[in-house]
Amino acid sequence: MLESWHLLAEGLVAASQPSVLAAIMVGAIIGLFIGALPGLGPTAGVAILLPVAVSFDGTAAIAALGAVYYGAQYGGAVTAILLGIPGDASATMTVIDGHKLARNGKAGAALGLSIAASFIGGLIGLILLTAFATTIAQAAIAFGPIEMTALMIFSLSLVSVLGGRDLNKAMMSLFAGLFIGTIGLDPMVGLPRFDFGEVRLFDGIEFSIIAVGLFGLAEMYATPPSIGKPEENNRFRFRELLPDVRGTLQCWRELGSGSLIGFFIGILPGAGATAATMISYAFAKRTSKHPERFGNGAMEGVAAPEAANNSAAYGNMIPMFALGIPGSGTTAVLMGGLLMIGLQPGPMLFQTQSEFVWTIFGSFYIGNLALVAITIVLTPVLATCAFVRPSYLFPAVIAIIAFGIFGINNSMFEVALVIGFGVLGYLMMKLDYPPVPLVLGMILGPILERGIRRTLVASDGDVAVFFQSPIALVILLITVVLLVSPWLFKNRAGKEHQMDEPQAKKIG
Amino acid sequence: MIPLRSFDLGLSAIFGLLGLYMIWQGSGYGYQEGSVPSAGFFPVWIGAGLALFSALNFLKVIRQSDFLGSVERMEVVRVGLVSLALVGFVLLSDFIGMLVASVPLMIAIGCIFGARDARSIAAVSAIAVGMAFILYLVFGVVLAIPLL
Amino acid sequence: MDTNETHSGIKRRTLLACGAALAATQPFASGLAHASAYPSETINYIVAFGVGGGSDIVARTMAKVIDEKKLIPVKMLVENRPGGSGAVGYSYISSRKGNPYYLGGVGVSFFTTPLLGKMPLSYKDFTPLAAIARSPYILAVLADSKIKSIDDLKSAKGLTIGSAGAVSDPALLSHLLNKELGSSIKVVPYDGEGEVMAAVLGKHLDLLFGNPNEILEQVNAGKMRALAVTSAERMESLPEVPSFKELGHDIVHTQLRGIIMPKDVPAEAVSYWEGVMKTVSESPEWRSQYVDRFNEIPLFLDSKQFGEEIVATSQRYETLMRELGLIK
Repeated sequence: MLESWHLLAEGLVAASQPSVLAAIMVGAIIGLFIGALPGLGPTAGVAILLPVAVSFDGTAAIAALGAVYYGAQYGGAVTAILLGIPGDASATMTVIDGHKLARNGKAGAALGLSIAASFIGGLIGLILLTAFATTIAQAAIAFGPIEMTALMIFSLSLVSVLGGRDLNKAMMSLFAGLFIGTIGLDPMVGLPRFDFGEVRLFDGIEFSIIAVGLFGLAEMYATPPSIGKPEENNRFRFRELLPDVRGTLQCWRELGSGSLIGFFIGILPGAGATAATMISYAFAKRTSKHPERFGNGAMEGVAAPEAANNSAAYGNMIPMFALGIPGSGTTAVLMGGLLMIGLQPGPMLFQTQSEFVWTIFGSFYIGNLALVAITIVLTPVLATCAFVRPSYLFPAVIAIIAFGIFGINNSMFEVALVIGFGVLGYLMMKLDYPPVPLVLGMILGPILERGIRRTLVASDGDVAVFFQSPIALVILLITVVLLVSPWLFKNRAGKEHQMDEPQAKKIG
Repeated sequence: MIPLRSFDLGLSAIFGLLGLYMIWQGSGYGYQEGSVPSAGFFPVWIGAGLALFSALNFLKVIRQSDFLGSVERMEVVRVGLVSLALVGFVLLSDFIGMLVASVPLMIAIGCIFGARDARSIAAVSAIAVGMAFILYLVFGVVLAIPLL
Repeated sequence: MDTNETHSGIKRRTLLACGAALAATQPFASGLAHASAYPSETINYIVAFGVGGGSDIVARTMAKVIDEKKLIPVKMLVENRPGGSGAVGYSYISSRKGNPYYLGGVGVSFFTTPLLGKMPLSYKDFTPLAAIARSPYILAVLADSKIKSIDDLKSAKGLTIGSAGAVSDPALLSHLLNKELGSSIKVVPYDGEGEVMAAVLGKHLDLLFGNPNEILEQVNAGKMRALAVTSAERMESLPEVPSFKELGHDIVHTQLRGIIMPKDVPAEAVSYWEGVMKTVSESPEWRSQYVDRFNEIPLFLDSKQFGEEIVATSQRYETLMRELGLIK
């Protein structure tokens, strides 16, 4: 481990040469910017920059692509907080409290906190990456279909914490999400499901379409138009645009737990990052003294998921660097970049290309510092967005959405889908259907299905194998505790504070 | 003012029917192959769950008459108008190109969200033209997306 | 390498993009324009899959070599049109019927998506131009596995093998293997080659058919053992690993790296690209940047030979998909 830090020091020096520094800056700014565009997330960002980046020399190319990845995580929080649109599935949880804060006139505080959370999450993720990359990679592959199944059951059970007021409606939302997750070619036999004769649905529905429709458009529809006195909408104090240092420091517990959960769940290939944000949010809410504040603009509700998704970005790179296995769409494209510049990611990379790997790790540290500086400077400017009249802001936002969604596959079909999901999102919002369970179902459902079916194909339909894996058993046990404990807890608390009970129910 | 109750009943009904449709389609995909779940296994169960919870919600809403409150008629009209403007943009893009089509889209959205007097409309139009240029630079040039 | 390069990189892309926009607005004019001297316009290489994948790497490396050696007098633009398991990109190419300025690559989905019957196209809607590399598959196990040779597979029970997707080359090969050996190895589909590799390393799967590139990396690291290769001969980079053919099993299947054009392009365009691709395939640049880097087998097939291979491959997939019940 000491050797790691020595190698890192050398890497930091190597990453400080002008060509690499320039690549980091270019990548970070492009990433920040693409992450902030609704519709385009880190995967699109890395994909767009890849053809350009491979024309740099090897190290600079990967440093730039990596910077796009973590830059987009910083940028994604901006859209999530200011416009209420998650740029990537892993930014969904940030919307819940972040956008509430922005609407309550605390846009600056929320943005500042997200920057701090991104930086701390990133830093903790990086330190763990630097120290344990190869060791952890070995542990990650212990997660096979059986263990993934258990983890997904656990994650889906979080609907009990994230579901909102009406559990029945949360379940409808969850199952609607599960339905969306089944659209496309069946992963196991290749049969098209629910394609409605439309070949463009073969690869399923892109998350950003759901995100933009369900969160972005729905939110705009419900905003009253700014007729009459424009001054009232425009009035804000400069202080509201600035980060809130004290509020940020008070979230230290959520920042820490979010970073750790993010990193360790993020290592797992598949939907690691998204599951991580949801678990960290649920954990923060569960352990909080004031769970009722979550969902109504709690600083902790921004700190936990933002720390988690940034930390997860580095956890996600571990299987790629150490084993040659991309754990997410973004790392898959990043790995394509490694292949194009002539490097084969895998167990030999740390031995044969040690200098390269450590320079890249070094560049991550530098990039994170640079991003903090850039975003803090930009925060007051960006936060002003929250105070622009809808009649001026929405035309621009809707046009960016239309172009961004078009850019996913260069087709209008996706834009047409967004219109439909916008109406659905509006209805769900008005009728008090929580949108988060839908995201949960849509992202995690397919992984659950794959896990169960892969296991059963291999075991010839024998269900007992699910209970023969110790890791899976532990996860399932935690799930049971999660589902049962509030019940027990509530019964006891109910007897003690019978006066508080009705009120808590109404808010939580 | 439109009461939200009818919307909730409608949405529950649609979700419920979707659930039944999933069960029907799903069984067509093949439920099991030997002892192993096949392509239709999950759709059938997801459909069943969706249908069940939708039915429960439907019944609950029927029993509680004034649970959800109501929504202003104008807000619903606004949802329809924005959707229409977007549909218009999708259709127009094929003929006059996305960049040109985005200008009337933005002006329409601006008007829907409160730009009613001449000054505001002029301001929105200026924003629309400026944005179209920015969109061209960002998406067409920097990101090199083949725009329509 | 400093900011200047970054700038020029972006600028070049911009120019190319503008070229593409121009070409796209006049699809009909281009069919006529070639009469004077082909090619006179930007060539569009349409990748039917996302950036960074196998097909994309082939396309971009090929375009780079052509550009470096100045083999064509016009620009070559690589454009990704992913979606619908290749259906979107391939439909786009085939809709440019008779237009010799649109190129595409051949991947597994080129055969399987049409066979699913959802895309009203088939390989017959394209003109094969040439193939310039061949990638065999290597059957491999973990280094500490009990399976030491192909013969061990016959006696072993309950073995599982990975496949990237339901219908893929590894799935096809596994079915062939079961037929040849009389074994009952179960095929478990995953979402990508990386996932399959992870599952094998984590002991959730027993076997895999992998690309030379990824298998060699693991073999060199001492984590895996190669059992046999699916090319007719042994591979240069793995001289001690036998081919299925020499072991007496009739399993020969490789992935061809070739390019196609829409149907009904002029004969001169076909012979023009045969010439270009022959030069590419023989160039040291292509050897070092692609063939050697990814441990593939160099070759050159002209339009006719490549066309014959396409027909044979499509039939192989059709048989497989019938057996899996995907085609009724």
